[in-house]
Amino acid sequence: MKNKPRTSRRDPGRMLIGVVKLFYFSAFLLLWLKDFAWQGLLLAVAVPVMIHLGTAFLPRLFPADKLLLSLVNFLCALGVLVLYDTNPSYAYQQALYYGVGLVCMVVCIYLVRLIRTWSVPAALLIPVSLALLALPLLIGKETNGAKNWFYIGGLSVQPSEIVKLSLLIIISYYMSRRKFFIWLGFAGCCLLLLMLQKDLGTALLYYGVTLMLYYASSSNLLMTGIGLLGGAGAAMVGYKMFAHVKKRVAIWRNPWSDYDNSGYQIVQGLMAIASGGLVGVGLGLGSPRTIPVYHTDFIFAVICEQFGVIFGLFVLLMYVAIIWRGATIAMAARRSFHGLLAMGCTLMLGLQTFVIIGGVIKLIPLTGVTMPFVSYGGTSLVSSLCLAGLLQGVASLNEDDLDEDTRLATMDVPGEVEP
Amino acid sequence: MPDDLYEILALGMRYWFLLLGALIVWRSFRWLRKDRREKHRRLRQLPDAGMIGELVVLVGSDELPEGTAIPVPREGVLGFLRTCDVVVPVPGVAGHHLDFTFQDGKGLLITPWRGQSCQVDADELTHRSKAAHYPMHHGSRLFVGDAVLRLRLFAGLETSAHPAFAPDAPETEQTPVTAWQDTPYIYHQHPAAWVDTGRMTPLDGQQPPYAPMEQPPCQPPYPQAYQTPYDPQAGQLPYQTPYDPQAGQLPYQAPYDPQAGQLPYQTPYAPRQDWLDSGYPQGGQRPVTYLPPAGDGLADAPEEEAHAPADSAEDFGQPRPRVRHSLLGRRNRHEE
Repeated sequence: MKNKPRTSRRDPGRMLIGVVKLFYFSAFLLLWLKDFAWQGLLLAVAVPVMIHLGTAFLPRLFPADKLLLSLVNFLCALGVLVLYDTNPSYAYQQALYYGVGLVCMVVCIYLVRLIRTWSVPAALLIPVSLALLALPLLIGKETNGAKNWFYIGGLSVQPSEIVKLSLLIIISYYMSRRKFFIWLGFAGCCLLLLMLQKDLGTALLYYGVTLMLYYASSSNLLMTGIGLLGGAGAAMVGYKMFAHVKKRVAIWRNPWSDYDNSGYQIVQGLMAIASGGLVGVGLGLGSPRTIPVYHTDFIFAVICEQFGVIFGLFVLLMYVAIIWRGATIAMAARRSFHGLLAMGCTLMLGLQTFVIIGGVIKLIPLTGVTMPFVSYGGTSLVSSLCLAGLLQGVASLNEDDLDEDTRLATMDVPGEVEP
Repeated sequence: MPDDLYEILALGMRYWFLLLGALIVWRSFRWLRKDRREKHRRLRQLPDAGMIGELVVLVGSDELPEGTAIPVPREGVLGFLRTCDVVVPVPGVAGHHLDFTFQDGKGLLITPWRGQSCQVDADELTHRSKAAHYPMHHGSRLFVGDAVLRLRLFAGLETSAHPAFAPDAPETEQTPVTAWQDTPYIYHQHPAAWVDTGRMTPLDGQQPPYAPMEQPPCQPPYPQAYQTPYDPQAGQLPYQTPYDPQAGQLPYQAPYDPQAGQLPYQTPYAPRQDWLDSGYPQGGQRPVTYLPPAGDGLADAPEEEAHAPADSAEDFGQPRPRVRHSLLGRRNRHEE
């Protein structure tokens, strides 16, 4: 024991990762005991192994942020766990997308680390993103009042989830280069296309992130205020124009007035949270499937029902930790593009979490966005992991810069006089 | 497993999951707090972290007195507003006056905002100027509003040869060198040999009696001695000392004519004896390779005429090494 390096004992991530692995091993083992299905036992081994690979192996490739990796992996695995309990077929697909997402995350990290000049990629992404966003209008299928999906060979794709990444890259790049009209025009076109698709939740995300990123890049309170007023005006116009917006606001104000029809979903969600109580009804128990779209929008209600409100609060605190970490990474970035990109990813994850959890607990009107990392959905999970990858890429560059600073400060300068 | 038994087990496991969830949150926030403390500690150890150098105020205002050193980050905005990265509260400086960005191998690139202008050494810049063509190097002066600032880079940053010295050389042949690595090249020969012998012809048609430079002299540093104070208001050209053979100056010093494509700062340099005695520029070590050739007139040149007066109290002879305090062999958090 005396020969053990001191640094290994002080690794703050070792215990955290260990606890995360223990959590999922015991949870999947419990679900396996329910019906003794071999898939449960397989997941009890596979998920901790994936977490170990994601948190212990990746940092060997580049200086990654292990805390961010641990929390992101915990949330992704939480989604797989809850889905396995409610609908195992969703869980297998989600586990598959989790693996794909991890690969995409590594690709994003390398992209941020390797690409030195983003002018060409940013310029190329503009037409590609707009074309992708326009596709559902041409070949899409309307679901829940919004036409934001299209299908390729049986695979459903939500392009607004992919364009989320390019939006951040484009506006971060052009904001850092002070090309006001380019990023504003692009963001405006995206919002217009989303409004045409009636995907108001995603439009709210795009608008909010763009506005907050503008304030972060310019500190211009006046223009930000004007943008905020413009958004409020657009919301009023949307409320007047779209019937389903009026309906959602009415449900939000009083879901019990039409509890067996339009307010059924939110009422069931609230009842699930209430029935879970402080410590939950227990994993594998309760009736989460009574909530409509329990696997996507209302997965937070399922978590609260099975694990309790206190655990739901812990999940919220994990998102807070991710946002805190993301903001720290953004503040430590040495280049304005990287800083804005990291801040954009953080804002996107934070705002999306707020919008969906606020909608589920009836804090704000419900909009159809997914809970990052947790909700079922391949595109959503992969794009969330890509956001985490971009954040990780900036974090690794920060580490490189800090190491370079240390190297420069400790190098021997000829003729330097020791103080 | 029977349903009732499973229910009892699941009800009991609720507290286990709650405990693990609490542990995860506690460890996460503890990690965040620890990293925050670690970051502050590193910043205390490396106060220059993230900075590429300083802008030393040569001409300022009451709020920004002369001699003030403003830290310069890698990228940012210069202006008089507090939100700017480099705040210059001097008349004539706009709220957001110019953007700057440091590029490895090039220098500090300046881009004025729309409607603003500034001057880097002798070059007037507007927002339409190609910033890459007018990089600031160690010792370059920035005229912005009524302020005159001089850039002092930190040691170890990659800079390239000044473009004026190697206009015809392919860029690929220029190997970026660090500022302090250049110092021996500059001082091991007589500074008068800094002219590009391929482009400049001595007045008497003879090549200078010194060996040609192995490598074009790179900035920084430019000793203060051969920089004539520049006054743009007087229409004076920068670093231009008229040639006067009677005054003991060097023979191949042509007056600067920008139209003729000459080089701007080829003023002869006579090292001050007190600098040599104090070991300048090696900071306490006399440069052993410095051997002024005999018969170049320097030995006889009066000290007052042989060098231009210093225009700043700051010593720009070599880049300042970064400040660091005791690092105690700490490694970054990912290696712990």
